[in-house]
Amino acid sequence: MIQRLLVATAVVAVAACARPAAEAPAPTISDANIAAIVVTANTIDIQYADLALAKSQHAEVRSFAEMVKKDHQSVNEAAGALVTRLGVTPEMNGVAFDLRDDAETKRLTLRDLEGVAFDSAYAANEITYHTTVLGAIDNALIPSAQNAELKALLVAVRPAVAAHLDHARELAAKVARR
Amino acid sequence: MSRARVVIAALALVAAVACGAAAASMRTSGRTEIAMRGNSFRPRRAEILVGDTVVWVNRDIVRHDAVKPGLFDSGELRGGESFAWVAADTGLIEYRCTIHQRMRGELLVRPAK
Ligand SMILES: [Cu+2]
Repeated sequence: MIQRLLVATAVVAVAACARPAAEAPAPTISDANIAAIVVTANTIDIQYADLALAKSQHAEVRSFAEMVKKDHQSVNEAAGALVTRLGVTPEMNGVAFDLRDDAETKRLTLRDLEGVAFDSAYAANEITYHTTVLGAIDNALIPSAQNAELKALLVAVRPAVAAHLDHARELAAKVARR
Repeated sequence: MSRARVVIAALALVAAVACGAAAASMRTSGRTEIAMRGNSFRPRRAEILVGDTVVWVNRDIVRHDAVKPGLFDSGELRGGESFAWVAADTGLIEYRCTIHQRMRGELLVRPAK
């Protein structure tokens, strides 16, 4: 998934730099794709959070999971309202499918862990996941968004994702210290 | 400190007091708006007078609240929603968003004129 995102990012970057070159393909991430990626990415982290709330007894892990869940629900609501208003139908694409499939695999791994092993794996995964999502927002989604309101939504979502990443790093340190 | 410096300092003090008085006397609304943006309260610290109304407005996409147990609880505010509260007593109030641990704010409530 990360590879595919990197490729998508590279394609966008190359397309941006080499606009006049005849063979440069147009960016392949449409607004409909971006909508699907946003909803998929949010839903994945909500599912990780649900897993943490079902499994973890660690107070900090639980409050992190509750925050992340609430925030991503808010973003999904805002994204849903926007695409409805714009009349865009979210369209799954390779990036969204990869995000979803990789998350499914990761959830199965996390499900088998207990106690501290689960808490540290969850925190580590939240760092990786938010790093990936932040990179996608900065390098692929914001540069590709055609609609100004969709772009504005992505820009407005960024601080929450960045805050989650910072918080996930702190959480990982706390869990390790226990 | 040289005499000139003392004079300048005194003048600055007088000017500051005068401006403060002017600002205070020009207060008509008694309303202070605090934005919730980028996962922080802006301004983080606000000075108000007893009887003033504080209005928190959520400018983010994610939900926030503003809570000081025993004093006020905005409940969860969605983007665009707001909550108003009137300060009844003097004191320093440290409040927070219960959703985001690091999102904290302060209100310094001074006696009304
Ligand atoms: Cu908050």
